Amino acid sequence: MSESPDNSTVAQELDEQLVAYLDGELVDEQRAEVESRLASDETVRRRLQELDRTWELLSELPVSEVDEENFTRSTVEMIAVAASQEVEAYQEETRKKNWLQYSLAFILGIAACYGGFLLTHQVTSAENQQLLSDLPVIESIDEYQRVENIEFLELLEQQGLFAEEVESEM
Amino acid sequence: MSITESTARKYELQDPDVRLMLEVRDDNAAAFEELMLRYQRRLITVLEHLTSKRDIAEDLAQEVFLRVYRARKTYKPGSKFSTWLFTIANNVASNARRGMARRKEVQVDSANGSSFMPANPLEQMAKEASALMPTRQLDKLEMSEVVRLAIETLNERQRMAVLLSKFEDMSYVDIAESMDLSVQAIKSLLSRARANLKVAIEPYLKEGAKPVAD
Repeated sequence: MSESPDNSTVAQELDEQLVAYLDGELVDEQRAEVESRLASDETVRRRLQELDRTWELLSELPVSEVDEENFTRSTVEMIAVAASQEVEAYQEETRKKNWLQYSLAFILGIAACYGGFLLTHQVTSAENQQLLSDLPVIESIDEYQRVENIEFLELLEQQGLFAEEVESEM
Repeated sequence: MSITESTARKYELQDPDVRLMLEVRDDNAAAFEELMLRYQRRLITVLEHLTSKRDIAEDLAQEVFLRVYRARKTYKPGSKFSTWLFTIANNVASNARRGMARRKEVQVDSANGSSFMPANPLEQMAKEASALMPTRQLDKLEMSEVVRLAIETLNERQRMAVLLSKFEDMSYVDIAESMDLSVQAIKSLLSRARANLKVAIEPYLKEGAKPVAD
């Protein structure tokens, strides 16, 4: 016999209340309501007994027998292996991280050296340029020091007495 | 959901197994062994009835303990230890079921969603029992087998809820937390499960109760 949806819902709700009653999950008010229905309705009483009897039969299910010592030992061994793998993985990760840090430090070192070289090169190049431009003066510094003033040298240049030497040195 | 300090403190005070787990968090190996000794039989019993296979149940129980170990450093008590443990067990069993379904190692019962067991074992057994010995009283061993097969007619959720309620004596609130469902959902699950069990077992009770004919 098929139940109408409404009857089915009502039956389902009744079952929920009865099962919750058996499981001690109802609040006082709900429990009183269920007990009132049980007192007045034979069908509800029979349904409660059926549900209860079925539940009691579940006690026939066996509790698993476990070789506790063996299970504990094998589980601890499995966890020890997993733990050592975790440690290895951590060490490997640390090694990778260290390698990355060393590589980065090396690259930064190289970059710093190169930068230093460029900077030094630039500074020294400027000094060399100055020296190069001053070279004719430096080479003849002894002669220049014998001259008492610059006006005398300018006079000599105006007269063109040493034009060939000056041009050859320029 | 984050666990407040007061909640953690409450469960630490109430539940000795929570205190043991906190020692496990501090790398106390003896505490971990003690927890295993306290729970392995209970865990394997639930998983064995859930999967119907002893070897799978033991493998899953080991996986549960492994997860407990791995989670130790972040453990913060937000429930009873048993609730937390069976939450992990439920997840491990669900993952295993999905994995098995993917590998098509078991026949899926499309009618009730059970995937650990072949379809309709109880119906098959009923026919065999009825044909061979229709009038005798069911003995204890056979009754146990009938109940086991009746459990297997339930879908996975109903079965887990029944096992946690019957074997772990868990409240609806704790079952709901373990299975990540609402309390109302658990109420409905358990009600339907009991009704289904009644339908599955009743023919045996009636058949077995018949007097032996001369």
